[in-house]
Amino acid sequence: MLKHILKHDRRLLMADRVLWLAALLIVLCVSYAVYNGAGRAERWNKEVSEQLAHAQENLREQQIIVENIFSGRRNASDYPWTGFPQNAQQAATLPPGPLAAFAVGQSDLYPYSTSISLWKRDDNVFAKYQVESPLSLLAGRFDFAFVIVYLLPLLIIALSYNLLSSEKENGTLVLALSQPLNLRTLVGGRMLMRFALVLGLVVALCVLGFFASGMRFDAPGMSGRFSLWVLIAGAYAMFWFVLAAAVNALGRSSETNAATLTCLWLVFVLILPALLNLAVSAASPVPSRMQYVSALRAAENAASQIAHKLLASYYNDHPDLSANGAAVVPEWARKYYLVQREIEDRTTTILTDYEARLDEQQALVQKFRFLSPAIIAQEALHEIAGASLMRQRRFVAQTREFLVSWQELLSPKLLAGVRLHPAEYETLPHFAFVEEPLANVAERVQVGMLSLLLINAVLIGWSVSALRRYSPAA
Amino acid sequence: MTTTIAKKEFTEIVRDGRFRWIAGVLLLILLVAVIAGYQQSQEIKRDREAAANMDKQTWEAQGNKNPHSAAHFGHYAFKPATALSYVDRGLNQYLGVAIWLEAHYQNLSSHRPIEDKTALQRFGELTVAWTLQYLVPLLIILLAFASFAGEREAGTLRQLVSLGVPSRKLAFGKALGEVAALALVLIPATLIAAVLLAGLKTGERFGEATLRFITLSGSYLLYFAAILGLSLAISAKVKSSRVALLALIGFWIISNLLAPRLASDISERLYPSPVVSEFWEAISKDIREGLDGHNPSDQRGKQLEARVLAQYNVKELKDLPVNFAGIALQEGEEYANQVFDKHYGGLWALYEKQASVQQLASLVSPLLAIRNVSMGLAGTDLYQHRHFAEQAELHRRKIIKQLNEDMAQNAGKQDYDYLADPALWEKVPQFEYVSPSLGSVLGQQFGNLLILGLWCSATACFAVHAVRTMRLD
Repeated sequence: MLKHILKHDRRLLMADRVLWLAALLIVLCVSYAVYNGAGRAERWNKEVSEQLAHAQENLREQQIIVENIFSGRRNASDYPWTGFPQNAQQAATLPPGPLAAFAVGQSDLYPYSTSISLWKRDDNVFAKYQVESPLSLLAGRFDFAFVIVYLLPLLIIALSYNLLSSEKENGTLVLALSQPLNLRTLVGGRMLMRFALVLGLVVALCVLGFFASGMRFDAPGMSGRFSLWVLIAGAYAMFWFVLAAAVNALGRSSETNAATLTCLWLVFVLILPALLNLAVSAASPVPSRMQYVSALRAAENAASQIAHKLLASYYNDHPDLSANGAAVVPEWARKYYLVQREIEDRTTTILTDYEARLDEQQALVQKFRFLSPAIIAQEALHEIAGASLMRQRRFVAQTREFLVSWQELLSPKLLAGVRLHPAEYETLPHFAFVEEPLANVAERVQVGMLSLLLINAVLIGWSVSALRRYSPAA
Repeated sequence: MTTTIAKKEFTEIVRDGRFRWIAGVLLLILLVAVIAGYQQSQEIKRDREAAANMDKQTWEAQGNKNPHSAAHFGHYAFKPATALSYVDRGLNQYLGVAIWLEAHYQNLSSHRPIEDKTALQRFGELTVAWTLQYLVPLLIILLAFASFAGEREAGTLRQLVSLGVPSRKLAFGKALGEVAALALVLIPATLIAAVLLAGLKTGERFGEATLRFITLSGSYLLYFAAILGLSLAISAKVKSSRVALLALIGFWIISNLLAPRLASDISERLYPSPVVSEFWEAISKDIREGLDGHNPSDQRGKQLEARVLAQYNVKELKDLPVNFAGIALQEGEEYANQVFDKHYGGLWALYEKQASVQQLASLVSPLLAIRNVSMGLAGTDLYQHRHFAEQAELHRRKIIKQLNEDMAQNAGKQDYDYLADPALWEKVPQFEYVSPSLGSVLGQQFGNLLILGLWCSATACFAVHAVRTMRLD
């Protein structure tokens, strides 16, 4: 019987022009989104490689000049700044996420590159980067994830709001049920057909988008990420179908169903996330950024006033580095370095406290996201695409680690007050962002996926029991 | 006759249980939004004031220090919260809360609140403005989609028209009834918002804040009128109420969901934001090599030396009665300021061009028009931010000049070893910011207000025309 229902339904759906139009709109939206996303990812890649090249060029230039100074071909006094340890800069860059063409997520808010040098401090590794237009940031980007989370449910609602109610209103339901047909099979079959069509459409769009944006399946982890993306999209689409079936099972008119489903869409996709946002900010407010900055400046004040003491005590502890006649790096630069470390020492607890509160807020969101499948889906999609806050935090953490290793390597030379040797330029470390292993990402996404499936199962169970009380006569 | 129609419409709507539920929920959301917004804006006000005080204390506690070191330490200019920001937070989450005023650099505003929020923030913030811009239009659509189409399906439209009421009055009567139903939600919320405004302690600018509030309410009324007009027109034109609802929801999706993102995408595509590293590199290149590319900084330094020696009629720097390092620093600042004017001018011009694309898009989406007007009146838009940034920059130039001049006058032979008296720090003025007047804001928003007015009148005409030419069954 199910086969007949499926075949019959497919014919009905294919003949409906409005549905073709809606599907076409989705295709157009996705094409635009992927085109946009791919362009953006390409530009990002280009900028990152340009900056890396630029940094290498600068270092090479400095190396050449230092070589010339050491070999006597050039006069050191002509180059008062070149070769000093504090002026050596290395680029720390974040490449675009694995599926960057599919989701912009949070990545437009944060910096993806900076230069590391001895001038930098814990808290100002990323500074002076806020040139992105706030108007663009406000609206957010039209990416594939947006189409899936916001627009796909509307297509699904349009397809299935009158799954059962139209038959009832036409009077054909009684007729259909006079066949050896279970109401549950009818609803299930019709829903399955629609779900298959939508899923097929989504998968086709994903595959086309994947190849159109120049991504490759043989790159490490890509096939895994792609499958996760499709699975989440599928589970989310299934939620809306199951919800539509549940609303149909209530036995109201098609119009009421449409209104109810649209209201539910509004609640899940717009209102609940906004309310939750408010609740999370109220329940777990992050301490004031300005207070942190004020504390930093007060620490800077205090530290600079004891700068000479810091320098003297450093040389006390490191007699082999005592400033002697050979020191070319000016004293103020050496003092500056120690003052920055002192500021870090004095404010490290504030920074960790601050970041702990940010983590708390994020954890709270993770807990309450199960209230809305839209939140679950969006978080999961952003994670998979590498456009999430987590990835950004990883980048910041890795950059800070790199800064520390850079400091450990070069600060002895700075405090000894000498130029870098040409050979040392060869051994300067390079920054390479280590992407999170797919297994870890999958583990986080898994929770979201399972919760979506659980919600779907509950709704199916409810629909099944509601259909028992369904009266097929109009 | 109009009032009779309005009364009938109003009674019918209010009797509908669904309307009561939806209106109740919407009112609740509005109340939550306005109270939360108010609390947050009070919090922000306290926070900024505390930060400004702390910064002043830190600045004055610098002790004996070289003025140039103090110039590097700098001031922070904090952006104060505007009176109506509790209603519309606008771009505030995406704009830095403070600007670091230091020597040698005109900084971008830093510490954007959005960076300390979770990913949930991008779903939208529950503010009064958001609710009025996104949810109230849906209520209006719900109220009005069946005004004529529903009557047509019920068979009562022919009777209604047979009364001989001119179509203008018919449309207006229906609209009035629906406005009255809407007022049940909007009036309590407005009253509470007004009461909270009074509690904001805006001091001598209370009159202006009240005017802003009234203008803002008026603008939102224009927006709602446009949506109402459109809904009535569609309801009269289209053959069934189902299709009317579909068309109006479709319009809402395009106007509220798609248009903002598409407009911002297109504006980014046409006028892309600069790459950070390129922005700063271009600035340092211009400073290094001169604005015209042929005036390198060391050459400028030599020219300055020659000029100053000639001015004081001495042969060598050590014979100068003033400190050359201080003079050179200020000269460097002046040149750099020209470079900054060029590049930041370019940046602001870019933002303006992007905003003009969005303004064009508001011809398709009334949401974009009201969003701009709302942000403008609440003082949370880019125009206000630019005003703040420019005032901060003027202050920066003033204080850096003051510090450099102190060094030039008093450093003598000590150059950078000269330590200024701590009293100098108290002589350097704090940054006092006065936000732009309502007049200038209205001038800035004239285009958007015009577009809103256009929407309102166009949809009103459309509605009247549709009612005049509607099919009766």
